[in-house]
Amino acid sequence: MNKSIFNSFYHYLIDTYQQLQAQGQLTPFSWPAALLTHKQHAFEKFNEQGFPSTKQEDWKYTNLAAPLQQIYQFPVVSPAYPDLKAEVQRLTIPHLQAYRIVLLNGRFEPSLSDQLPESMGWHTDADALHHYYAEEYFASLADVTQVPLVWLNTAFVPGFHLLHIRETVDRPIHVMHLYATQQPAFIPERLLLVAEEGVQVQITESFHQLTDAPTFINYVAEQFLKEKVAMDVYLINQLHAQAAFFHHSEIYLHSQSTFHHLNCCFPEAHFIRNNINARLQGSQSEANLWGIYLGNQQQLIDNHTIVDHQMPSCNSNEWYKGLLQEKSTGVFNGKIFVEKGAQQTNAFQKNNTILLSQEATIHAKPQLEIFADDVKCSHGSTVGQMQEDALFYLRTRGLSERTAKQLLLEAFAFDIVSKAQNQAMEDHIMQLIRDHLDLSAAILPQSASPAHVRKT
Amino acid sequence: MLLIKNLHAQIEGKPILKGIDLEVRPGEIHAIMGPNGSGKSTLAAVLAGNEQYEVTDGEVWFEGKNLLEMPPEIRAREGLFMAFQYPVEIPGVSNINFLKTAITEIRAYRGLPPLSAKEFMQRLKEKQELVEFNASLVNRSLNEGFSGGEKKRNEILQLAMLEPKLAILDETDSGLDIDAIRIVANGVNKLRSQHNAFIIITHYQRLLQYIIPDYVHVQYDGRIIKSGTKELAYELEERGYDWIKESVQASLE
Repeated sequence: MNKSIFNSFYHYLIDTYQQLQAQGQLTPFSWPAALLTHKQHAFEKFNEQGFPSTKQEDWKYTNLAAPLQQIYQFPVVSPAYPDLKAEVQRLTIPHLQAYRIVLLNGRFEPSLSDQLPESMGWHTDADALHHYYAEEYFASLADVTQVPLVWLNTAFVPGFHLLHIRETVDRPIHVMHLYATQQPAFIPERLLLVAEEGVQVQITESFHQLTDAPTFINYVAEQFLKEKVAMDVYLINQLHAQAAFFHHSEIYLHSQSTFHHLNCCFPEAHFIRNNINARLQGSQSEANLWGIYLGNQQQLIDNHTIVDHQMPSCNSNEWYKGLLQEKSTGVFNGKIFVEKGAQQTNAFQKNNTILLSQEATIHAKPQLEIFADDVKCSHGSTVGQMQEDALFYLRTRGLSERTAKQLLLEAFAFDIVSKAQNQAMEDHIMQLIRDHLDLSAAILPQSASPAHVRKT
Repeated sequence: MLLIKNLHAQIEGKPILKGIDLEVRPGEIHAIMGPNGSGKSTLAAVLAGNEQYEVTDGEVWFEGKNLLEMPPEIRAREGLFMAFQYPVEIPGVSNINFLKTAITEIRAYRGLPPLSAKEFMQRLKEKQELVEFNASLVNRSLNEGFSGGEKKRNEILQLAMLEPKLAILDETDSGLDIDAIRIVANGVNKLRSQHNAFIIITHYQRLLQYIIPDYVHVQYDGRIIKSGTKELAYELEERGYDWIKESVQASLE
């Protein structure tokens, strides 16, 4: 079966699972029988399917064989890391004034986290496993998508976190995902989020690595928005070069809910794959997926999104922009489904990439599948280099080449960053972009269309 | 102020300028006219520092300094300005932010502190009135969605804001109606002084009814083939360019 990868890391995982299971040490907490069934099923599926290879359509340009050459050990042993408090302080977003929830290698760190208000419930470990929402929702969204890396997550994750938004939260929430290991580590992590009817909430999730050990992060989030919810999610990926990051979010929106998602990928994790799937399950709901990604070195940044219009009178907007430096590669795949009955749908998608080096590559693929007739849909995709005539124009007005490039690239990114609904987040993201743009290396095109620009 | 000697330039191996000689002194307005394809815009582009053109021979001195050795931004900071024939639209870069950045960098080069917000706004308001530039356009993205006339007026606004020593207007009149030409010309007339100079590149004599040049040059096939005073422009308007082309051909034979 050459559509899959059965490498030594795969065999290591299968053996480890079976050993831990035989020793009764698969999870540190006892899982309710119903949830354990999901786990067992997921293991069987992963055992059978292995890792997807580039022969699978959704992985055509993203070769997992390279990042998974390593044996990432499981379960992870967290080292004593003395300066965590200082790290949390350093990584706190200026002026956001958020409730901070700190996770270390996927485990909740109460001593580093803020006191949380009554409007939200944060449940972990056994508490989450036995919450009344656990049985109802766990694995009910993500696992049905038949994604092998989600099965891997369900099979291995020791427990999950349940974020329950009961009422509108008065401040943003910042979930800080920290990773620190001495050995190469496989870290599965899981979030279940339920937002009750009518609540408003802003959530920032940031990802940071504190040590240099190779780390394979596998993060799955299932998010339920009940009626009339307004939720903003910011994803800020700041992992180091030694990180391979897989993330899968399934978002279910019920009627009249609004969801803003701003996905920001920065240098320099060598492998990033995000699956972000928004399912419009109730009429008059709205999903907005924004993305900005900045690649460097030999980084691979792959964003796969699905906007699934299942009900009538829903809106969706999607706009992803990429700035690719050095030998980095970007992949953008945007699927829009408009299902039979989903009349009066408005669905728009755009994707623009600037290649800042002759050796950078982008694979962009919009994919629209429309089964209703009363719909407005559009998509557009561009790939280019920095506009040479614009750069010259600015320089003739006295701007240095560096300032001119910065102005142009920031303007390019700002279309996306300005979608932030929160000024502190907008400022923070803009600053990260400035920090990661290597203006001295950003070159201009030698020819109008380099041979290695492929658009599919 | 500007001294051009035997300037030769080419693009992609094709010679365009074939020996231009020109001297511009402070307080002067020079018009360069000529038929399409004679290399007038190439001359402007080469002076502004467009790297697509390769200078193969000759010299250009600006205020005693070798202009050809300077990158475009240094030319601008030294006091050279070119109003583009086709100003570039730059979405996402606000007009006002761009002007502020440009002035700050030019002043820093000259060892001057940045203008205060108040000084900047004052200067902007004053210059905006000078070129009758709609205030709402200033807050928009640079030239994005501007009409042809608005783009050209924005060039003159930039000229007014940056206060160059030498301004080159590259076919600023093309595509403008008579009212817009008058506004542009009024702006230039108010900006001219004993200390600055203008080179006005144009295909028609129309603009020169409003901006009276001290000298008129005819450029043809990459060379200046005839120079005179403003009367030459009138003659060209009446007789066209053919008689000059013919006289050049005759002198070659």
